[in-house]
Amino acid sequence: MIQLAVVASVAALLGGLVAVTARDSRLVVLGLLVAMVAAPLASSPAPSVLTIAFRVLGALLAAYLLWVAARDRSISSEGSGIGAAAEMAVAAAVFSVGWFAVPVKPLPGPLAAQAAGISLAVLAVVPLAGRNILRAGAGLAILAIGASLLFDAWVGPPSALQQVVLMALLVGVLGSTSLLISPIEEPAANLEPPAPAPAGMSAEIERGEATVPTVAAVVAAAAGEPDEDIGPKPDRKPAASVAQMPAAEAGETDRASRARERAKARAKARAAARLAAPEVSPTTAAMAPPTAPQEKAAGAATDAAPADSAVLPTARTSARRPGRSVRDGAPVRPLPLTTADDAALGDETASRPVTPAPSQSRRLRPREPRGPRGPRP
Amino acid sequence: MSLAAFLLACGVGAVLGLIARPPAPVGRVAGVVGLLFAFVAALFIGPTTSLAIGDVTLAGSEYSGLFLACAAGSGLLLGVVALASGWPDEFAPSALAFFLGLAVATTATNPGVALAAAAAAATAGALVIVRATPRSPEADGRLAEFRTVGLAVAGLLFAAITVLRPAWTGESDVPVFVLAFVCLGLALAVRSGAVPFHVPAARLHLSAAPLAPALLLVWIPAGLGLLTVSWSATTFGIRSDWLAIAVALLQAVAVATLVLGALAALVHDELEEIVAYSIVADAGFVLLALAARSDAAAEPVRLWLLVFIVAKAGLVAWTTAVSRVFGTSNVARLRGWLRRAPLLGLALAAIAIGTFGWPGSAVYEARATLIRLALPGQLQLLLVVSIVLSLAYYGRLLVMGALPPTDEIVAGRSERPDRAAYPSVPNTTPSLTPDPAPAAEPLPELGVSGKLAVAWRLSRTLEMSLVVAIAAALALALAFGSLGASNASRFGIPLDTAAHATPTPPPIPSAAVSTPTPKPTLAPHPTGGATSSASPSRSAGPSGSPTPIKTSAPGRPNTD
Repeated sequence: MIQLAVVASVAALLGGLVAVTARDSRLVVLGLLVAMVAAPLASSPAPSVLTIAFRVLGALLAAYLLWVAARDRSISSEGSGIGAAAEMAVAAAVFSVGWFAVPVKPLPGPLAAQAAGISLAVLAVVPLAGRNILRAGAGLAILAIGASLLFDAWVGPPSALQQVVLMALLVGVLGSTSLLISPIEEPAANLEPPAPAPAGMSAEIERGEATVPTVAAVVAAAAGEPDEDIGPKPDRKPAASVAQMPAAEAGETDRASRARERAKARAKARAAARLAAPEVSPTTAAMAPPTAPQEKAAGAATDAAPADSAVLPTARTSARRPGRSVRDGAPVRPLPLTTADDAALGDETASRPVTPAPSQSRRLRPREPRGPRGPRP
Repeated sequence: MSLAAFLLACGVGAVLGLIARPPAPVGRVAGVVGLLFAFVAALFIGPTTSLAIGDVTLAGSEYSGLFLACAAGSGLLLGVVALASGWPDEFAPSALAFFLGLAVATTATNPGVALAAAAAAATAGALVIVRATPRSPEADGRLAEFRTVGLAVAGLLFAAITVLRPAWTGESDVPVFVLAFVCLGLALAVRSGAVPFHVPAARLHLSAAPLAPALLLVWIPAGLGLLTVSWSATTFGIRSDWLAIAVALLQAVAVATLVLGALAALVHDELEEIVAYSIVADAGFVLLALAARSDAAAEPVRLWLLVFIVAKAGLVAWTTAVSRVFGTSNVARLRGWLRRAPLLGLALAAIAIGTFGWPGSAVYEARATLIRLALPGQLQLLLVVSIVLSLAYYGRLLVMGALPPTDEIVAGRSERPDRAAYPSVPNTTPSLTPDPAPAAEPLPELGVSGKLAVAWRLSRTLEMSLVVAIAAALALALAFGSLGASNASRFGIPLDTAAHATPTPPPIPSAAVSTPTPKPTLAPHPTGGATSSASPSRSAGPSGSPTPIKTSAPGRPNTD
């Protein structure tokens, strides 16, 4: 009968193998999750149900942290540095060596845990030597899992507190990875020192009561400094954003760069299709009653557009929504352009004549960068 | 109970602080209150403190309580400085998360738990890197930080397996111990930014959040050093040519760090770089303690770590305060700062004295003992060299501060509260209308909270100076053995007891050992004076165990 420890060890090894060879970040997360869940089961005797439940919960938390960071940021792993076939061959070879070698005798734990632990430790070397943070994080997590398996095999089953600590270690490693692979969202515009607006000005502007200082403004003025706790340092050089950084230094892989280029090309094609679509006369568009969502979208665009912003002269049919086109007699409203569309339009829109149409305006200016906070001292 | 309260305060504070990001008042409150509760709880941790979790007991000791109190207390002081100078959202959660792991590591009686907890705690350092905006593309320190974390985790996990002494089947255990020594030494050197791994540490002010050096260069290396040195004498006190080479390499790194780090602090112009190199240079003493491999090095390094934590955290706070008050961190542009902020100058002098003391003081003797134990006689001069270099860069800062101030410094704020500014507030408050003579508006009535807020904002410079002065005074007191530092340093942490419970492995009769005329090595010869240390088990040094017996690892099941 196949023992649970053997199955768990092999599952942990396979999970680690998937994590170090997969290109899709979701597969990396899945492989890590399998390895983290299977690793505590490789102990002999098996830990208590409470301990296993704790490790599983920790594994889910760690995997979730990594998945959250990797799912929507176009971050993908480069895959194996030496090729998936080579990784599998190395894993199989080292597993065999670990199965037949006897570095510790008598062995307090299962032999399969020893073989899988050595194999995982070897598999972690290549990712850890690379420059991709996601792969290095996966490698470090695999190394920690391998060390826990070796601990099971060479020293014996770990205590409950040690299981908790190992879980915390895995959460810490993958949490750090998820944070470190996250692109920094502060654009350069946000990091430049703000204009030397006097203290309290912003608060008054926001309230529209320029002559009635708020308590905060009084306090800030009394202290002779802006109300912001985190202010710029005068002798600091303007910071650079990730957008200005080389892709490799920003933690982005070549694959991600290509994906971004493809997305740009698609956005440009969509924008060109919009421009090439048959135009709708303003009269026709005005006669048709708008639907509620369209009304809401148009209102939002009007509110968001600054007074001096350039707008497109006519409404155009969206090429992406033929069912709502003018050919079907349905009302047509302009769709708000996205930032990618704006960037893709480039000089084409700049050369078109513009007329003010506040009710159907489209922003051509890039959206305000969503910086989480101001510059640091 | 106090240990549980410490763990609870750190855990809850860290989680709340992380959840409350980006800036929210609850995040600041959770961070400062968590640090305050942790500090108070750590004061009550003592030899009678224990907490059983499963089959592992977390046991306190005088030293672990004082060590945790120093760490949490310096974190609290830095938190107050951060409130006045600009709150970095990641600082308090990462510090609390690290203190949580550090508390488990310094109180666990199981070596596997202690070292794994230290590895988990070391990952908290990534928090202060991640959300910081690199000021230049080449200063993105994320990969360097991750590699550092990985090295620390790998070294500590491997050491955890090694020190538990599995029943190796090889002829000699020495290669395993040599590898473990190299892993621990490398992890400690890289984490503390020792030369030649100093570049990420020097760039921390470009790539990390403000106050990050306190966590990455002071607290984490100090915690790792404390755990590492616990095993230095008992586990690595074996004679081996390979180990001698590894020790010689570690000695070379430590000497280079002490000298070049202080020199770098002397020649750099940015305060953050000066402070980083100053911390790096003083961390070389921890490497020396690891290289000493003697029980006699345990007590001085414990005392040094207490002083190191408080003094260097105070130095980080001093840098933050000066940079904030005068708006620059360039030494040349800070000419005359001492005249505007004499309290900060006093604090800097106290930090300097607390760092190296003078002959007869506890910290001076501790540093001298570490150099004497770890280095051969030709290098004993290093103590004087390090003190002279340290005096040079501290003196440079003070002399620059005493020079006639620049216009920028004169125009900057001083420690004197600007109370005269309050009555003229409406006149100085700008309005949207560019009226050159705006009409005076009646001063709004302020409640108690408003008055407190005004007082807080008017006196920010003074508040930061006072906090830095408190840190400097604490460092000075610890440096002279006060506040129970000398007494607590005589007793180690539970890991010391566990280390001494597993005797030194038998010296393997290798070719090098059997040679009648051993080759000269930089490694110190173990002396009988090792027994003078008041380590918990008072075990003899490596040569004091004539017939050591290899025993089973504690807690390892007998499967024969």
